[in-house]
This record gives sequence, C-alpha cells and structure tokens, in this order.
Amino acid sequence: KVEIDKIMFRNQYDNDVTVWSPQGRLHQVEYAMEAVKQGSATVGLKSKTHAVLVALKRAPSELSDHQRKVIPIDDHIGVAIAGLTADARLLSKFMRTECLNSRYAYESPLPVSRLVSTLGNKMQICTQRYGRRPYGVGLLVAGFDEMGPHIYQTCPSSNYFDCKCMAIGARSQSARTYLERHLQEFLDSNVDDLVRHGLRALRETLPNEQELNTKNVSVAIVGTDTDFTLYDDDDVQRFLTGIEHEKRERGAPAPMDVAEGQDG
Amino acid sequence: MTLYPTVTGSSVVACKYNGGVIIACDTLGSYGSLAKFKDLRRVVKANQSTLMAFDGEVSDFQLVERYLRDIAQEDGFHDDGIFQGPKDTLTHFSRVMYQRRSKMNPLWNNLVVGGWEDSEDRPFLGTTDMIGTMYEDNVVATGLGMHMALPMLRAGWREDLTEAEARELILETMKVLFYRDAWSLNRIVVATCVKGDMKIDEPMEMETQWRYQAYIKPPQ
Repeated sequence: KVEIDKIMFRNQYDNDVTVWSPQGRLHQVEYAMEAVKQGSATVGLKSKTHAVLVALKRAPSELSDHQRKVIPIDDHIGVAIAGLTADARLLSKFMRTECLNSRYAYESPLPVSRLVSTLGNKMQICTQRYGRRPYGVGLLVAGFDEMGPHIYQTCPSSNYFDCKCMAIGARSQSARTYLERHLQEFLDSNVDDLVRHGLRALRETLPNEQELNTKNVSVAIVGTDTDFTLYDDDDVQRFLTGIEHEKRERGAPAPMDVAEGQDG
Repeated sequence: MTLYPTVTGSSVVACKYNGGVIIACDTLGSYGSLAKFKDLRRVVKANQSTLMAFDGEVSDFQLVERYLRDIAQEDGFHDDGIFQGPKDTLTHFSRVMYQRRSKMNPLWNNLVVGGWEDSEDRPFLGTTDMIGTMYEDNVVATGLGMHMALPMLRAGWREDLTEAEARELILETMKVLFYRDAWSLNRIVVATCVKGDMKIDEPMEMETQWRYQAYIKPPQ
C-alpha cells in the first residue's frame, strides 16, 4: 500500500519543474535524465595530451541515415550527445556562439571549463522557472586548452562533472565498467590506443548480435597540435581494424543500471 | 561625450627585450599647459602577467582601471586558475575603444599593454588607440613618442637586447622627449615584466643638461 501511495503521490508533483515532491525531488528533472539514458551510448576519455569521443550512431529505420552524435563546437572543443537531438542542437548553437565571442573579444580560445560552467548556468534556469522544461540531453564535452585535455559530462539537471573518462546513454554501465577496469592505461596512451579503448568500451554496450562498423560509429579527437577532428564512415575503419578480432570483455552480466542519485 | 581631454598624460615608450618587456612614462598630469599633477602614475598592473600604460585623458583611464579591477575580480570568482593574459587584455580593450568611438564617446587614451603571454611562452607588447586600432610590435610609443622615440627605438632594437640595454635605450628616448615635448616632465617611472614577475619602479629623476650659455646668458 505504501508503494502504491508513493507512485500516486509522484504523479501529483511531477507536472511542473517548479514543484518539489515530498521526498525532496524534482521529478521533471529526473524524467529528463531518463531521456539521456534512452539515447544511444557514447564514450569519452582522455590521455595526458588528447581527448577522444566515440559514439554509437542509431538509425531510426532501415531507410534512414544513422543519426549524427558528435557535433564540433570550435577548433578546440566538440560534444557527443545522448538524448533529445533537437535540444542538443540548441545547446551546440549556444556553445558555438560563446566560443566565437571569446575569439572575437580576446583572440584566444575559450577555456573549456568556462564554457561548461556557462552552459551549466544556462541549463539551470529551466530547472527553476515556471513554464520551462529541462534540456533533455546529456553531453560529453571533449576539449583541449591551456590546462590540457578535458572530458566533461553535463546532465539535464544542469550538473556538470570533470571526468577522467565517462560513458552515457543506453547500456552505458557496461562501458563504464570497461573504463574503470582500464583507467590506469589511458593517461600514457597514444591517440590510436586511446581510441581503441573507447571503441572497446563502446562495444560493451552492444547486444551480442550487433557489431561496430563504419556506419554506426563516430570518432572524434582533439589535443596538442590537433584541432577537433571528426571521423565518420570510411575514415573510422582504421580505428576499427585495431579491435576487430578481439573478444568482448563481458563475462558476468553487468550490474543493473542504477538511477543516478539526486545531486549532492 | 568626450569632445576634448582635460587632464592629460603625455607619451608612453615601450619595447620588448630578451625575456621581457619594458615600459616607461613620465609622472606628469597636465592641465592644458599647466604642469598640475607631478606624481601621476601612468603605468599600472592590469593583471597577474600584464602591465598597462596610458596617455591622454586621466579620468578616462580611471574608468579603464575600474574595468581592469572588475575583470580580475570576475576571473578570481571563477576560482579555476584561469586569468586574462596580455593578449586577452589588449584585444578586449581595443574592442572597448572601438565600441566607444562608434558611440561617438571615446575613451581619450592610447593604451600600451605589455607582459608575459603564458599561452605562447613569450613576451607580449602591443597598443590600441582611442578609436580601437590595435597592433603588436617589438617597439611601441604613443603621442609625441611616436615621432621622436620610435625612430630611436627602431635603430637601437635587437632581438637579444638585455634588460639593462633596453633600459638604457628607453631612458635615452625619455630624455629626448623631456627636452623636446613641452608638456613633459623629467621624473619618470620605468616598469618591467618577465615570466612570473612584474615590477613598477619608484619614480626617478632624469639627469638632463641645461647649463648651456644660451640659457645662462641669452644673447641680447
């Protein structure tokens, strides 16, 4: 009876982002985070010199092209998206404008941390204003600036996290498990090895019958002496060749995806 | 609307040397042809790695100083170790100067920005005028200094100038400016910036020679 009551009450407090539930939760924000988990997986990781994104592109039907997952923002920053593509497009446009303004005003690239915190502030507004809804997209921001390479994760809750590596999207827990297991190897990796690690992590999120191929994978690299470069279709083959004959790591079944706990 | 300046500073002279930049100006604030303010400081620390010097309207630069403080404060609030460097500062203020000129209400100053550019690990020196013309160079001067000091600086400049040599070169130009610029003073401030360190010296009086017979006993 208590369970049913909880569900019943949840519905009373979940129509407006400006309404708290009795448990101290904003259900609209949590629902938005669900949208991210529905998006296809994407992985970001970094070494001492480079940051890399790999993403799984989904095709809505056999007739359509695979959906673009990685969006370049500036010469030194790009993002991989999971969730509502339209919301991602809007945020990308904002990020591009911020970067461009910085280049005009200061003739230097916008530091990645500054861009991400400005983005976080923008996203927070619609978690606290009547009539708005949270942005239903999670981003993995890969960038390189004076402080080195960066991977940031952003959530619809407007929280952002500085990461050594991260995976978001459907079945991303399996990818995160791979990343945790191999964390120590990333810092000193060269770029090709780094991408291969990302692809292996991404592969963990696939059902057994599916494989990574040039159609459904995007790779992006940015770092020292490397502007943000996006690889799609045939350009991805050279990275895939490295891991084609390996077996997946999945032994024991991955732990259940746990709903992200509420912030702080 | 600034139509004409009221209290003004005269020339700024600056050059790069091996490992740093050096900037000098006199300490005079002129009220027209009245030498009113004899201890005006025209070189300031813009931020952690940048010096800024001005000529022209004093009150307009006081506004620029406020902007500099606000920017440094904002950077501090971010608390991420990222601060504006000389290039950011010069570019930003040249855009500000241009915007003001476009509103027909200029900041009546020439700004000289010098410092250590951490992102490129090299000394930086540049200037912007009151209408937003911005450029970088190894040697820079404003006002009458452009006409009198710059040729001297260009003749004497080398890539591997030591600080002492640069200081001597700058001092020579400042002396010439005192002899020839009617709105100048022989009391000057010299400032230097190297990687990780900035110094604005206390004012010093320049030795100049006036004991010419023509001055002591003017011909009748």
